[in-house]
Amino acid sequence: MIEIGLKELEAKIREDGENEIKKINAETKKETEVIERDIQKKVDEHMDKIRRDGKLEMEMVRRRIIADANTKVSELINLEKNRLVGKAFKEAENRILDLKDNEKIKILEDLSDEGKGSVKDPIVFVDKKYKGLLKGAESANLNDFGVVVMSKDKKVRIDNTMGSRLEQLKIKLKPRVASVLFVENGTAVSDR
Amino acid sequence: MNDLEGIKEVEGEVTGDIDRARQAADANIAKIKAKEKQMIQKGVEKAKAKIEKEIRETEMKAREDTKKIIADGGKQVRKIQNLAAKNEDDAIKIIVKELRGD
Repeated sequence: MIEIGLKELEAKIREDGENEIKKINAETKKETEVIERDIQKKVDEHMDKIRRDGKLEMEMVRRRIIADANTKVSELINLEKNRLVGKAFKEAENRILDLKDNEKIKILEDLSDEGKGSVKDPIVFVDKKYKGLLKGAESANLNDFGVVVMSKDKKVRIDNTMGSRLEQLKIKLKPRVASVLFVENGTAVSDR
Repeated sequence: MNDLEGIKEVEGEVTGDIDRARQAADANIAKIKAKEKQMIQKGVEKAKAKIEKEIRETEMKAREDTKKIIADGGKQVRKIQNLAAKNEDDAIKIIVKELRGD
């Protein structure tokens, strides 16, 4: 009887031990699954952040490249428009210089009268090249068509040369000249 | 006495098995925890490689699109050149008129 009892006890001890080991293994399995899930969650969060940041960067890269191209084209068009407007002013200057003497005289007289109106005791200077075209004017090295009107005391000086007039006119007329140059069927070609 | 020692021996044996099972479980958990950094790094590298590839593709596509933008710009430049050639005389007349003070 005692022998049977001892064997049963031994078996019980072993069975309990096996059950304990099974329990430990089951708990470990459960715990590792939780840890693995947590780790995977962290991995997914990191990856999602990289994807989100990457998508934003992709959009920024695309926008920057397209914007750069649009800016480049706009600059190109504006440069060409400025060049063509400048060309029109240069051509206008050439047309004035190509006028017949009687027409040049009229212009010089008008420029002189305009200058004299604002200056006391005026002296009118004209480039030596045009000396013969304006009576009463003194010859000077203006290197330009037009006149310079100066007060006798030299305190007031009015530059009515073509270069000076053109510079002023460029500011005043540029938008109008551009609107005429780049008009198509009554509509101005706008910038991009 | 011998029987009791036999039981104690079995108990010791079983206790040893349980301790080893616990140690193995702890080691297993520690091993998994230790892999966390490595797994995150692996995931990050994988995601980075994928997104960097997509960014390169986006950049290439955008550069292709800019070819069309530049070509359209070229067309527009030629168009304004043609318009200017056609309208130049009118523009010059305006400037000449102002220069002459008419």
